[in-house]
Amino acid sequence: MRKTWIATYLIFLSLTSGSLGQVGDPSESVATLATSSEPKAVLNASLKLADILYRGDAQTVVQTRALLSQQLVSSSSPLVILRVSSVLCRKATPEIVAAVVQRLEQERSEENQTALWEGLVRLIDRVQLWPDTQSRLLKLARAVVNNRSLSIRMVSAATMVTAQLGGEGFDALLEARNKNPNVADVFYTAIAESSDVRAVGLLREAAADTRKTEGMRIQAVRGLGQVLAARQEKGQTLENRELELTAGLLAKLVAEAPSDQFFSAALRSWNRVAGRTQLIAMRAAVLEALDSGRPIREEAGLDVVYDNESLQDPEVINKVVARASAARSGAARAGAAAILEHRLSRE
Amino acid sequence: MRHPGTILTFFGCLMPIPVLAANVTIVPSESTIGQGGSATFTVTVVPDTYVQRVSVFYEGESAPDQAFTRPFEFTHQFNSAMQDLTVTAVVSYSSGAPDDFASVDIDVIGLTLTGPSSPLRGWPSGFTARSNPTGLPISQFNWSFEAEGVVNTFTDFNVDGDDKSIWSGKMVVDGLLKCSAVVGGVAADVAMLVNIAPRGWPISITCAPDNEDWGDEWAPKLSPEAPLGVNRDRDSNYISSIFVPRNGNNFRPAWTMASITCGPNTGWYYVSSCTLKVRRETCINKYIKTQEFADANVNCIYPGAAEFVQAVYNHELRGTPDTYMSYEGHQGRIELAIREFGHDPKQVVEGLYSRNPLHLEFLVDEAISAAETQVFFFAADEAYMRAYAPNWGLSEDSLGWGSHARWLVGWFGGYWSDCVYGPPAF
Repeated sequence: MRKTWIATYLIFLSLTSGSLGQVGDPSESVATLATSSEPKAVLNASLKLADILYRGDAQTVVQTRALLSQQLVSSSSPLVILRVSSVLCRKATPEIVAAVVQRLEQERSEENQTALWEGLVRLIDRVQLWPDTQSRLLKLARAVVNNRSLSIRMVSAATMVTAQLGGEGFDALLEARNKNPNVADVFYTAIAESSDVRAVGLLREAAADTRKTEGMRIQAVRGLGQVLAARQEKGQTLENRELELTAGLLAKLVAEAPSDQFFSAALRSWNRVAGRTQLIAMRAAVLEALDSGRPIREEAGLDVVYDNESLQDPEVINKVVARASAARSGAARAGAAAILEHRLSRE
Repeated sequence: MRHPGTILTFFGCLMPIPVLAANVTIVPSESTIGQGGSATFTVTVVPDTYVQRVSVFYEGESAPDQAFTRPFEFTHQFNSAMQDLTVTAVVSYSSGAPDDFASVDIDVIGLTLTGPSSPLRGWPSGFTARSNPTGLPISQFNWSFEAEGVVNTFTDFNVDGDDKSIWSGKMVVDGLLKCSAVVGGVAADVAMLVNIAPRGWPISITCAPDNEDWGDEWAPKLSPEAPLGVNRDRDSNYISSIFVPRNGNNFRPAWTMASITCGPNTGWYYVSSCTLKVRRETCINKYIKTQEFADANVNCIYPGAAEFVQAVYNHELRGTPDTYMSYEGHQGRIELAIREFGHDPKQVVEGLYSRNPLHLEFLVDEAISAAETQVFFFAADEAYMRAYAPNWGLSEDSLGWGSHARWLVGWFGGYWSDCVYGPPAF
């Protein structure tokens, strides 16, 4: 009988590769990433490589990076370029980014160029670039963001990259937005992620500017929440005055929102910026959203309750419980369920 | 001795005593056996002339063991616990004499393990080990749970001295649960495979069609490559951001982590909740909706300017006609990739866990990024739409088929071209 159990257990172990797969040879996973079209195989390979990059010994990590970098600089498949960038992004190095920049300088295929730019958005996120790489990348980026004949997809990715290239990148974007309308599509999102302090003023200005399209304003409103989160992530703070001005503006925009989508973006950003002194006003706005009967507002209200535990008092939670079953939108029901699941996990 | 049960009853049930029949006895090697263990029964027939067959029957089981030659020894495994389990030997003779019988009682003692074998991930579950038969006091229970090579243990000294022990906590990881104890002087153990049931977290996918004014009037005039439409993330406008909420490339705002502090899964971290979603919008270049554009292209576009706009709309959304998970529109392809091709990251992160919180963060980000890459690449691919889709194909009955005019910049301003240009990028 014991033998039966052991056999069953061995089968069980072999079937559950699980999240803690053995750290081992990365070659097979890299090959799967580069060739497979089977979603589960790609995902498992990706998780396995993540495991290796996180938990492997120094030699294995170096070997894995080398294999992935090789794919990045040689693959002719845009999908593989994106896949590999995605795996490498949290453990990228200045060498890898330099190699990608070098390839970008020589790449002729527009599809591959686009994939490389999109990959770079992820790759440079946490890497301190070499000065030479940074200046070459800035030169390439300028050429793309100023070129109105390139696809919006490539321009958007290059805009996001440019925003991460420090003060010079920021300046390049300010210049490009007047030349290329395609930059405007993600301009405020990009500068919000730049964590450049100059972004805050620009975003506030755009968010308040009723002459701008609603889409632009929403992007700026969302960016105000994002810029603070990005700065916090990098250990940078914002002056109190800037915070107060921003929170004040967002509170006003929540009250005067011209549409549900605008309200939704403003409420979410306000929640990221507001201090405890605005908790009462925030709670009132959230309750109004939950009672609105309008799916987009409900969903935003629930997202804010999920993020902000200070708002989870009995009255609010009762409304959340009701939304979990009665909300019309699936997203709102899922949001309510997530709040309840989160609370359960703490009990 | 034709009625051995009478004597057995007389001597009571707890002490299994070989029945001294006139000509048949049955003697067990052990009077108390652990559940799953074995005992050997020796049947003696005196005299043994004409013995044709000896059969041994076990209470609660239908198939007897049989022997036709000496020695009449029977080794049997007892998988079901029972006190006073009667084992009966039946001797048949070739001489035609009637069968003889002899019986003996033994105790088979073990543990039972009850509890959910497929508990919902993250929900509290309790597992109970109890003496079998019930009511036998146990002084110590030794529990273990093995998952992914990690073994959690718990020793219950059972101070109240009853017959059971409970190990409970939230369950998040599949594994093998075991409990062992000494019951009535016999070591017993029991095990259960626990397979966690997923919580069922399908990601919500929404799209606001033709959501806002987009594009600039002058763009199509000055830039022949000005896009006609876009399908993008609703708030950030970034096309590649399929899954939200996020901080740039970090998906930490979309989920919460919890650790298990008691029970079999103590020490494991898991994704306790998740608000990941897809929130897209489509936008159509506002200039192609104007009368000026319609007038300039009145003879160009088949079947007409309004249909041209409709074709752009369908291309960004769900093809023609509007079909959920259509190959022919960007939104349809997002739905298809997520719902049909297994790229729903919320379903994947639901089942992730680790002993290390940073490792779990890494895995979750990786899983979402991997899915996003797949979904985005599939959704952005227009090859199928150009080749097959009725909303923008190459055949004459395709919406928007033919050509359209462009505003060309000349020496003295601009002018509309002939109907020579095919559809530009979307």
